[in-house]
Amino acid sequence: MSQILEELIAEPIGLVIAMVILIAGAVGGLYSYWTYTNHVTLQNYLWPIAEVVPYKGGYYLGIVNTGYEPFVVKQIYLSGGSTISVNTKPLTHNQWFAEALNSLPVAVRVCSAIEPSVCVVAPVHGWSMDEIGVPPDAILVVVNGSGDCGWSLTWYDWSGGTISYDKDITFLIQPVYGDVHFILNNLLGPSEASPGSVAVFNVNCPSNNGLPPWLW
Amino acid sequence: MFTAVVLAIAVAVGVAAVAITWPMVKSSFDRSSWSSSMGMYKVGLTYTKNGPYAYAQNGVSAPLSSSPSPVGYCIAYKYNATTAIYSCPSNQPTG
Repeated sequence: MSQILEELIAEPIGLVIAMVILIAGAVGGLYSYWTYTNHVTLQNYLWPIAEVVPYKGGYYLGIVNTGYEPFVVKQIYLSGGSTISVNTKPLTHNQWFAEALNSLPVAVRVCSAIEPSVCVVAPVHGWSMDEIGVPPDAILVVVNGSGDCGWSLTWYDWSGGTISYDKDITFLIQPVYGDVHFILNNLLGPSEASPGSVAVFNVNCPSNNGLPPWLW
Repeated sequence: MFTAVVLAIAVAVGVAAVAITWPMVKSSFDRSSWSSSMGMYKVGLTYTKNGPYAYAQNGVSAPLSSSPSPVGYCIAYKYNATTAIYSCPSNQPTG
């Protein structure tokens, strides 16, 4: 075999043929490799973030493009094993796609808007429930369960004020740098509160003996 | 002569392979960096004089309403007077 090769490349035409074959193989190999690296590179730059929160007995799914490669959302994978096919408009940087669902989504499949054969599957992030923080120089007042009567709340000491209302309300007493005391009218709740805390009151209407509100 | 040409082609192929590989390697590093930054992306919730607000990273903030809406790369909404529900890139996947 090596003798044949030596005889072949000893002739100029044989050398040229051998060179052409070699170069063609090298170029073909490089082209295949280039196609592969392009695919992987584009995949690496698809940066979808998918999130879900429970809402109104179902789920609210949001998908955002955090990268600069535009993509379309193709499929949503649900917890039961089923999938939903979608075909969104291309999402560019910081653009959202949202969908209300009855089942919990677990993953989404997005494909490049430039090269549709390049796709990635992204997990759907779940949710947390947290207290909304109260600034350290404030007291959050929450009045719940408004009934058929009005109520009033007065606070004094480090901060003073009064509010009369007949509905649920949430508001801040701010700024306050020490404890405040409360005077309650038709309310049940704490008699004092400290900065950075929440004071929750429930409306407690007086007995009206079955009379309508305008005859109390 | 033949050996020299083969060697030259091998060197050229090697150089081309490195040049072709580099964008893929860089994209892997970029993806890894993005992934770790998203893993730390959170949202803060606090009351202000104007009502409850959500503060995401990079200075993005938005008032919390009673329906889900984006805050930076998170989704958040007011569940009741004192609590909120949110989902961020740093939250655990559902599946």
